[in-house]
Amino acid sequence: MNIRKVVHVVITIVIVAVAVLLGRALWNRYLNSPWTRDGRVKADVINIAADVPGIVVQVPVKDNQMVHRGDLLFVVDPARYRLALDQARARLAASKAMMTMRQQQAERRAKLDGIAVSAENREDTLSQADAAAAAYQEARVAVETAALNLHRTEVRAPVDGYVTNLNVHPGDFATSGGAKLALIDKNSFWVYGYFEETKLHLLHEGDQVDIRLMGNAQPLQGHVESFSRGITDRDNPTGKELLSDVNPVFNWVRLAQRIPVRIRIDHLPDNVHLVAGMTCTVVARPPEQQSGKRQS
Amino acid sequence: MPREFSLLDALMPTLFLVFLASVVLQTVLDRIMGRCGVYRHVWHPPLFRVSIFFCIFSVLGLIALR
Amino acid sequence: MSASAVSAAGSWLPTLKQEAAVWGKTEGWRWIFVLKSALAALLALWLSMRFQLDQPRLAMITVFIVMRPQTGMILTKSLYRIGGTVAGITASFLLVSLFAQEPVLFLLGLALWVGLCTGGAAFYRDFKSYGCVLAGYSAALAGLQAAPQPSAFFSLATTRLSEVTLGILCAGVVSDLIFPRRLSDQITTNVQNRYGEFMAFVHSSLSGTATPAELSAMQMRMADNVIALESIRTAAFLEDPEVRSRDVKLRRLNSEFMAASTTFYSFHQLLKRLTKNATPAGEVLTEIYDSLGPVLETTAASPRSSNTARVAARHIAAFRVVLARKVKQAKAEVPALSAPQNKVDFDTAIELLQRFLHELHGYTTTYATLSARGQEANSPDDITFATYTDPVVASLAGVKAFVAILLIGTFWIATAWPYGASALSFAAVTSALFGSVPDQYRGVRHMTIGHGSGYVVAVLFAYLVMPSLDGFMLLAAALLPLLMIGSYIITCPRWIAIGTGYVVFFCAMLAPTNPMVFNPIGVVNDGTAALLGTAIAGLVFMTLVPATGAWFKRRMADQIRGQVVMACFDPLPGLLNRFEGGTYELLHKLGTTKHLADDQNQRLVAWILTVREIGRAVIHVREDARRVPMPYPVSGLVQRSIRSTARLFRRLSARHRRETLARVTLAMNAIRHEMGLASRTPHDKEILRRLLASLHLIRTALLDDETALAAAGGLPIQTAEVTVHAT
Repeated sequence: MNIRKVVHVVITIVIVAVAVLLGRALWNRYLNSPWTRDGRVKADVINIAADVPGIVVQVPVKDNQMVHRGDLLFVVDPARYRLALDQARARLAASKAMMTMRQQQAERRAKLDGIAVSAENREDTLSQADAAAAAYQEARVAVETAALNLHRTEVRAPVDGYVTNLNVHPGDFATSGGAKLALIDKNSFWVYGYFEETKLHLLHEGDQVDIRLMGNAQPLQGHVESFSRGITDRDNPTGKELLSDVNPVFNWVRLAQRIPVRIRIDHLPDNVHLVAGMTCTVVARPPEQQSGKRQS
Repeated sequence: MPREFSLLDALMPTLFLVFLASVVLQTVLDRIMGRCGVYRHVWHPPLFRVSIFFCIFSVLGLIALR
Repeated sequence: MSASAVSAAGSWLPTLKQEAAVWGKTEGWRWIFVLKSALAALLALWLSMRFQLDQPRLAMITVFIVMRPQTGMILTKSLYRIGGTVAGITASFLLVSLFAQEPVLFLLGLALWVGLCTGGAAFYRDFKSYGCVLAGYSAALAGLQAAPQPSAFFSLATTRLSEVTLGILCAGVVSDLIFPRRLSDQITTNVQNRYGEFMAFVHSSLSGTATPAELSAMQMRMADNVIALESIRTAAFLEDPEVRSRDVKLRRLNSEFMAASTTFYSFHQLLKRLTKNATPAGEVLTEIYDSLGPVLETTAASPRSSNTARVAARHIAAFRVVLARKVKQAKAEVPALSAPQNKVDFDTAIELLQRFLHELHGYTTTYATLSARGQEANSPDDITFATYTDPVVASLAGVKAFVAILLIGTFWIATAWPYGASALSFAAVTSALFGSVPDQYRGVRHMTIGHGSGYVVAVLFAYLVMPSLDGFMLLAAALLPLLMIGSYIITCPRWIAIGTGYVVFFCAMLAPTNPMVFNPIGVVNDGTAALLGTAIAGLVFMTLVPATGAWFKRRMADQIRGQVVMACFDPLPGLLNRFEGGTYELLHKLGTTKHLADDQNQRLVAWILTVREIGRAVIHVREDARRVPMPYPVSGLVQRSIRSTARLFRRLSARHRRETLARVTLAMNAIRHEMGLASRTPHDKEILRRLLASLHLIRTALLDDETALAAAGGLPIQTAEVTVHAT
């Protein structure tokens, strides 16, 4: 009777112990392994703005179109700039004429002796000739600037990428520096994995990770490129007079914050369309698979 | 195995599915063990049942998260 | 002096042990329950904070609502809670998607849904009722929360479900792991208690020591017992695989018990009638009857073990043989018994006694084999426990909830009250709960007291204690006593509404979140609105056709009498169980409101007893009439007497009573004639004799001027008017 009772207790305790061990393993696997559901696809976004103001006359690209470096994106009305160039050229011609005249005057006066021309007069004409040369130089630069402005009426793609959020149409007025469309750099896609601070020590630069996009079965390969070195302290925003404004309420249960980890995508299959801002799950490969990968 | 799956376009952790599966498995196992009278050979049946459940759940979970 | 001290020291340890054992059986369980629920609530709080759910209070509230001393109860209740929540959320989803822009239609739809659910809660018993309560109020809570921001509905719904599920899991696991109290144990205790009680009941009525009031109280207790076992049995089904294997036996036990106790009551009534005036049959019967006492004595003394039950079963079987001999002997010795009037009295009484012994034997045998293992292969289908609730009363509760919600909704829309939503949610919660409590006056009063005290304590705690706590451990330590007070009150059945109201409101108003949000003005406004909602719903429930009014009593009486009509006309298969179950249910319902109007209640109880006697006899008449071939005139007479009985119970009047008596007497005479025919086989004769006995029982019950029937039927009937014609 007593022995049976002991056996019963032992059976129960063994099962409980097994359950505890397995549960701990699962807990570790789930909560203490370096993975996060909170990952975002990121990319370099270039805000395209007109360098020179003016009415937009032509937008040859469409929204979401792929463009190559140097492709025309939109054109600001060049007429005014062409006129400005003509004007600058005319000024150049005028200043050139003036310069020639002053130089000839100076040459002539230099050849005359001191009786006909005073030394003072001679020096003056020489200075005037120098000033005219400088004015000529200035007019030349003005011509170049006008030419540059004319050239800049055609806004071109700085990189290979995709036109996004096209917000410009013929007839719009483009101010100088006002962003009119975004261009997403085709080759700049990377992933930000927001890992809990408790898991950070499990990750190292160069670690292989799987990136699973939401709604996409096939995982992408990548590796940890770098760690962010700072996040905002949400309990202490800067208050008035640059003094800190500490939250007076305490957390009952302390929750881990998340730190962005930059992940480089190693290879992008053709059928995967990455979009900046997509949600993804990032799972670091277990160490044994890591080393195998590195050796190979 | 993916760590989450989409149920009617709502994204849920795979462990939830594993949990449901273990509940079903546990219920079936519980019936069988109850019929065989296994519970009369243990000291604290509720503890035993909970432990069995945790074993099932953990094993399935570890397999799913492999 | 010193000697007594020594002896005191010697007996000190065992006494302490005994005391501890007694404490463990009574107060100990309560404290364990209190600790378990507080612990489960704190666990739920921690986990929902850890999982970053945005309303940890919901998980806590769920724990307290679901927590029951037995695990099986929790599991069952939880299942219905999840089901109810899902149903409610689906309903609110419909409402939000249809009427998010139409406040009037939205509130109308919500009121309709809550009314429907409250009606359902009042209609069903136990857990189904609970599921309805949940469906009603979670629709209100989710709908009102989501109505201003329909796009957030899905995440609100999933969070809500996860919080509820988390609370349930915490409650279930904690209660199952720490000092579990199994339903199967409780079933055993319940069954044992009832067996002992019934034996004591039979014994004390045999010895004639108990007063009628005591006997009535015993009846009431047994009715409560039957209903309790029935609800535990359904609950235990989920808990324990071992209970499942005993389920058929338990159901059989219940039905056998009900049958035996009714037969015994009929027998006892008949005997009372016969011994009131000294009749020869009465004297002989008293003698036989006295000899039954010693047979049951052993069981009454130690009713617990199945062994004594087995012995008792053997004794009963032996007594049946003795009885047959004694009857023969009495018939030979007392010539007065052959007189027609005496003969039929005597035969009926013996028939009842035989039947009672047969049923008691069955009951005792089932009881004795209950603990034995092994499935019963042939489970009779008709051992189901049918319940009966008045649909009119249930729908009235629904209408009340509808009116309450509409009232607050109108006020809300008319005044653009910013906290209308909380008033409305709590009105929905409480009216769904009020609909399901038997005594609405007390329910409303207690719920309001509980809410009020929970509110005050929550506000004090949140603004005096909470700011000085840092960290979850301190919070838990500070919450523990306050939660324990609530769950201790819950353990007293009388104050359960106060305790639940207190804990629920305390958690709801405290609203611990991570990190904590302190908003005193909001909490005060919110709490006041919620209290107002509770009060308005309570007022509507108390004033609009109150459950204890005369109208309700009249309906109850109609329902009780309707049982006989059911016995007269319903299809026979399973009728006996339906009839007994319904009658017990009614008796139980009277028991829950018995502290209200006692004299009126007493009359209703008397009605139930009369109805039980006559209805049972009618069913036996119908069953036996089908078993034996009878020529048309005779069967027609029997049918007519049944119809006449039904008419009497539908519309009480002295005329109907006279008519019924005449019909029954005519049928009896015809049957007696039929019995005399030589062509009848002994088997037929036996059945005819039983038929006669049942009819006679109806007749004596109709004649008895101490029953409720006589009290309500007006003039006492002169026995001379209808006499048995000897043939």
